[in-house]
Amino acid sequence: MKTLLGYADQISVTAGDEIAFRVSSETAETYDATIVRIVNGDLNPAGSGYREEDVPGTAWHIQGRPQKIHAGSCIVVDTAVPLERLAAGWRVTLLARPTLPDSSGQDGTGQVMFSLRDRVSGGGMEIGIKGEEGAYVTVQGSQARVTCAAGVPMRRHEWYRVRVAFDAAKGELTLSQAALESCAGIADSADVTVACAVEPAWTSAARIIIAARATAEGENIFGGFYNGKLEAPCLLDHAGAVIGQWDFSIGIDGQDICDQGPFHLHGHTWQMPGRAMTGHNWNGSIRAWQDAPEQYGAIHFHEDDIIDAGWATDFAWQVPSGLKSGLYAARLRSATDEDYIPFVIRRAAGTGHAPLVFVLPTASYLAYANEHLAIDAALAERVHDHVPVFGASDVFLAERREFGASLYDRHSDGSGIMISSRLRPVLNMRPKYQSWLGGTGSGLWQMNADTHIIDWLEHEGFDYDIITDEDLDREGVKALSPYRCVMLASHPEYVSTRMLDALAAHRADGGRLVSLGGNALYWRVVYHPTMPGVMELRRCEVGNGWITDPGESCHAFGGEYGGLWERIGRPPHETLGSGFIGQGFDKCTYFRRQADSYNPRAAFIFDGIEGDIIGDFGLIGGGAAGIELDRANSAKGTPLNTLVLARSEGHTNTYLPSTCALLINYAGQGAAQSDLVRAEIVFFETAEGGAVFSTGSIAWSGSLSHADYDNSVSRMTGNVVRRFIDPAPFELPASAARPVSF
Amino acid sequence: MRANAPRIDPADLDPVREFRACPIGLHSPALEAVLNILRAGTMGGKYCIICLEPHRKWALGRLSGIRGVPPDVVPGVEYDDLEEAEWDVFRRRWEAETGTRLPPEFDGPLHAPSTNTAGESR
Repeated sequence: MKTLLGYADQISVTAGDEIAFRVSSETAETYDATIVRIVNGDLNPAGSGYREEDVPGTAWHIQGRPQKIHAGSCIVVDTAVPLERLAAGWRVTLLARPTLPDSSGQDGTGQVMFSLRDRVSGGGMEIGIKGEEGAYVTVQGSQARVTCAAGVPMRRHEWYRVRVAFDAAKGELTLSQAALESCAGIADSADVTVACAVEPAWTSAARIIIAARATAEGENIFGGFYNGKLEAPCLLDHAGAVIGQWDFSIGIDGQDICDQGPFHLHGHTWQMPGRAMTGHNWNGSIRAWQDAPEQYGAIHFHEDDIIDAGWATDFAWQVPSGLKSGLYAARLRSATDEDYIPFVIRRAAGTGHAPLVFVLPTASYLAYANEHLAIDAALAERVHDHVPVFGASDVFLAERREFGASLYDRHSDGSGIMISSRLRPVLNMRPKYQSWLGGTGSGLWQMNADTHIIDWLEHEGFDYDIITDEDLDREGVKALSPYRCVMLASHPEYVSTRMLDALAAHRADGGRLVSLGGNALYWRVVYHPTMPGVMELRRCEVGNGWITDPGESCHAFGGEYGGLWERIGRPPHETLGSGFIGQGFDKCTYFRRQADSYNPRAAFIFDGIEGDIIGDFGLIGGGAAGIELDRANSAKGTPLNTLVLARSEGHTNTYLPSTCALLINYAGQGAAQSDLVRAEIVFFETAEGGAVFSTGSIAWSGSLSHADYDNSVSRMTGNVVRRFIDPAPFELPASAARPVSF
Repeated sequence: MRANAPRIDPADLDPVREFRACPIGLHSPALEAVLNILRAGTMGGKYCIICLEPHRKWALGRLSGIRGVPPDVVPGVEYDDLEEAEWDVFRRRWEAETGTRLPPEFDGPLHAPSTNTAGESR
């Protein structure tokens, strides 16, 4: 059972920086904390052994306390409402497209669309939906409350105009629920008036909360979260004069909410609901919200949105000088549990640099953060051809949904999760973690799988630095330019435009690139411009787990069109020489050398390697070729001077083509019957004197340590890295044009 | 069972023998068909494996199929070998699907006690 959980305020620090650690000790136990350098996170007894090194002088003994996560998004209006204007009565209008209309909210008290209440007394009013009752409005007085409900449920994913009015003089409360498009045989519109002798018992402390209600639990603890889209809420006085009129099509790429009314009742979003969402008037002719923001006036709220756990700091550490650049963690240990909060220490500016930089793909870690696929989706067992194995963290996350899920998962209302954050405990971004996605054997995935590479770099004695995707996105090529050779990890699937630009600029400067993984540089993501560690994905066109709704393919963060880089026009083949072709997840296999491997240009790669079979061993699935596979394709941008050095074979039928490679279904697509899904090891020189080497297989790194690191995978990787950090320029072959066999 | 859903022939034990010999890996079309049937169905009550000690000890579990309700451990069913767990789940599903108990040739452990299956060869 997990009882210790934590996260850091930063993912990448350097000497002199202070990093803060935020911890929940669920059972309020004391715990000890130490900073450790993570060398190898794999517990597999068949491997080279788990290895971490304590950083001397870092020891804390802390009285733990439980800290809660309050998931759920809403809008908080920051300014006090001129309540005197509402004394004679008021009206509210809004547009709603509910996504869980059958629900009466997490605690059964309703899904609140608009509220103006005192946080402590609850006095005021709220408008919401409540299952079979449909829309309702409640006036909460000091002693009593009156509710007026439509009495007919709303349909899921349909737009409604909801209007309410309170007339103090008449003592009437009125509600109208009107479907914008009716459905034959379904009565889902209603006009209802009830007597209301109660007046809202609000005070000057009352605030407007949209899509939730304030609670007495705390200023930033809300309840009654609404699921679905809301648009154009408007508060008017009894005479129909506007008090507040919120236009969500203004400032779509930010967190501010603009009031067009006379009292400037501006607000801000809380836990980042989805913006850049099509409104009731979206007509299908517009694909980018920037082209017609007035058609994107909706915000999609979820009861389980979570961006920032907002925990208090337990301890902080100022990074001393002199520590080796690497993957570090705060190791927490109590009597009942252990946790690691990972982060990277970069080499300090002005202290030189290594010739090699290993880019830790933290954007991809975020995409998979707290992934629930095998818990939620029936596909998991068929995707990897065996029964999913869950560890303590997976079981914990299955119950504690407030910790949020990954960009593969769905919200409770079925919509895809588009925003991920590291400002919460990410339990699968840890040393020692095993994932159902990691094949048989060690079962490592993402960060922990990448420790196989760190372990190998350490064993081989390479001088290297580590940076993160966040560094690359923020600094661009400046983060790479000190280094002759860039190394990519086991599965850097998610990259931003700035990251791709940085890799391109590094190549243009003669840089070298070693990619030790599979399915790399595949999806576009966008980091939040002002909130580090928050990232958005619009999974459009082909989808995976979910797909964006029509018209919602452009990111709210900055507006870039989302989806696969291949569809955006920058396929990974251009950068790496290969791109994603298919995946399996059961057993991994091996590579067989191809004719190109005997080309003198590749002689340095195969120095000391005997035989035609490469990597028929390994901790990930038992071989170096597997999990997710990339292969060359000149039609998608693989440079024509690329050498296809080796190709995988022997895969099972669990290996199937990726959806982007599959333009039509046909029988016999399994890799045992078709030769489409194969990994290819590729190499090419660049015009600027650099070179690129890609293994095209996620499983590659799991084979590095086999036989005490004396094996063909380790040797080939070492041969490449040693040549790639050598300043001697690569020369293009005399004739780049060659028969295209890929 | 849905109408027209494919069924498993309880008299055909070849796919069972094949699975027992190699629970994870390349399967014959006949075994693939059996596995696709056994692995269909809703998430509620579906078997899973809960890791008790990494690379050492696992338990049989069942998914709730309900968001926010974690998988339950099936009391008293533990494994020290993942392939043994895989076989046990197969056997339970096969017998439930066909309503037929597998014959005695399928009793007993999958591996000889000395076999190490925790590492690379898996």
